[in-house]
Amino acid sequence: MTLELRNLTKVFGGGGKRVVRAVDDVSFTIPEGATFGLLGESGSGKSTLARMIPRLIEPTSGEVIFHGKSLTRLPERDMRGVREQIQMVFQNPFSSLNPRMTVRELIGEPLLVHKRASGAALDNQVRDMMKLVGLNPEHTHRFPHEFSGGQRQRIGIARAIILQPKVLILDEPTSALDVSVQAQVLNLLIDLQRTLKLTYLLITHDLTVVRYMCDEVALMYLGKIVEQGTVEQIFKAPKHPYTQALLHDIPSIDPSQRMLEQVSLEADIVSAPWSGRGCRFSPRCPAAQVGECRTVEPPLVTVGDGQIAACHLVQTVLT
Amino acid sequence: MVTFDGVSKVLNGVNLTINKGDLLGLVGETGCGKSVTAMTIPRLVPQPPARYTRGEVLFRGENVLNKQGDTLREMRAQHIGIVFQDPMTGLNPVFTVEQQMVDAILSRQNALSATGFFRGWMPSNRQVRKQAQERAIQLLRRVGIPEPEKRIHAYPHEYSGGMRQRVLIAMAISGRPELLIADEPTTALDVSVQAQILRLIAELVREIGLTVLLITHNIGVVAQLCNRIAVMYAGNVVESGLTADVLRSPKHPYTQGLLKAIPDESIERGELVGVAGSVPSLLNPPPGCRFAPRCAHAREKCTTAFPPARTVEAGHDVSCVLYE
Repeated sequence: MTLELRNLTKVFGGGGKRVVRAVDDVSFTIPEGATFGLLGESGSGKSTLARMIPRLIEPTSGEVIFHGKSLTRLPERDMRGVREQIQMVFQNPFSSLNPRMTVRELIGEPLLVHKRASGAALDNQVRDMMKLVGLNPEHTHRFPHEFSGGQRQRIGIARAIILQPKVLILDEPTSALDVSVQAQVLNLLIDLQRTLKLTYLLITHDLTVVRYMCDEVALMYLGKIVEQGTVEQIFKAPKHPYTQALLHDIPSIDPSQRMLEQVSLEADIVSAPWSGRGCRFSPRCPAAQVGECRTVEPPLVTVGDGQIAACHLVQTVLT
Repeated sequence: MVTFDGVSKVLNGVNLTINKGDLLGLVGETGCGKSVTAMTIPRLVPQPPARYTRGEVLFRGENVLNKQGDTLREMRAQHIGIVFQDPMTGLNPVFTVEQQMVDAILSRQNALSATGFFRGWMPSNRQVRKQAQERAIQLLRRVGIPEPEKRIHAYPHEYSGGMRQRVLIAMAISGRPELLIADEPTTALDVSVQAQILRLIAELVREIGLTVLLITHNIGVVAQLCNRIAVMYAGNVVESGLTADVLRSPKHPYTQGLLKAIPDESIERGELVGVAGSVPSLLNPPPGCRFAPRCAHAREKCTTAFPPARTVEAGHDVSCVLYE
């Protein structure tokens, strides 16, 4: 058990202002060496969740347990040590790298911050890292703008792994990249995981990336997990209507699939807002509505071997 | 295109035909010139810095590159609608949707009746505005905005990304254009909203007989929406044809590589093949076929001249020495 989240919740606002429960009572466990996918549309709370793990955002309640130790009440001094073990790769390689720093400074910065190395030792480590992620080690004095998007994301990855972390949180690592480059970066991540024995939390809205990379996957909708299972279960036998709709809406490269002829979800989050009562997906849900959908929040229940889903209709089917 | 670093040869002899009633998907990666190609049709690429050194763009039988002033404005107003990529920046945040839509409708009308000297500056009378407003509401209803009479008075930030894209589509079709150019219309949207927008475009094509040029880097979007596809690489169309033909049996090594790079159901972890290398600099592009430095089949001939398009089956053209 490397990383466990227990009832993690983040509430923004309050004190007279509107309250937003960005992350609402989320629990899951990522086993050591596994890749756990967190899927969700924009605004579902997946990035807030990711930032709460190394406490870049303080959780309102709930716990993050890393190697059997709760991080939630750890003093800031001890959190530093933990952050060496849990590193992040951010989404946009164009804005997440300081344009005034050279590659050497960018990749070497974590070593200085955590007082691991300096001078020639730092130079050597930076060069090794650059080789590991497929960058030319002679380019240490170049600036980010001299690299392509894919190369910049390699710099971001090198920065994250130079401290030899156990866990990498990948927040949409390839969504700013073209597909041919995405394939290279995804394969690099798979290679690094094998050689460095890393555990991944991969956050994305791209279902095809999840299917390619992950062992287990959880779908978030408005701050809550609505379905969770192995990649096999979710892609072959999705139970929640939201999961089914998303899978239907991936445009297939096979023209005979005719996805556009069938309607899955009509509205979006703004035009069909959730009233705060009942199932949060009910205003957009294409499945037949039972009275409970609008009044009672469905709990996560087991729907298969380890697969869980939060939907009243799934329950009725099973019992 | 003249840049600070020198002359960038963005388009390198692009040949592309769109027939009336076509839904043509123009695909390619960042920087391959697909937007420049498309925006050349309404002449929205500023000159300078751009310079067209040769070639012509024939729209309804006339060369667009020779048009200027009022005739250019009239062509845009009457025949072309454009939907840009980012629905967050495509609308002005300080005006309501109503103001922006009425503006779009009126400026189109003005462009068409720009005969008098001061005509464009004349304040529109109340009756004209009222008609434009009614037309705007009607358009919003057509593109699927619920309660358009109410929502038309809202500001763009009160709309979701998908709704903003619907507004931009409504503005683009307000002049009943023949050609709709959509530049990555769904790239910034979530997959379920993307599907809704694509469905809307398909409906509009059926109902009002639009011809569509869709620019995207998502081949899945083209596969589901378009009847024809053109693949661009570094300023050239390297392959084009019926979507079903090209996607079932891609001929150009770049098209093949691009299709293999998409994580598909059948691909096991670690077995995805990307296209090795990266896109060449257009300031100093490789001679001959610009894909040659990344191509597994490259031979000496490839570096001498860009291979002309060859027809491999009816309507399916490829520019590659492998098919000469």
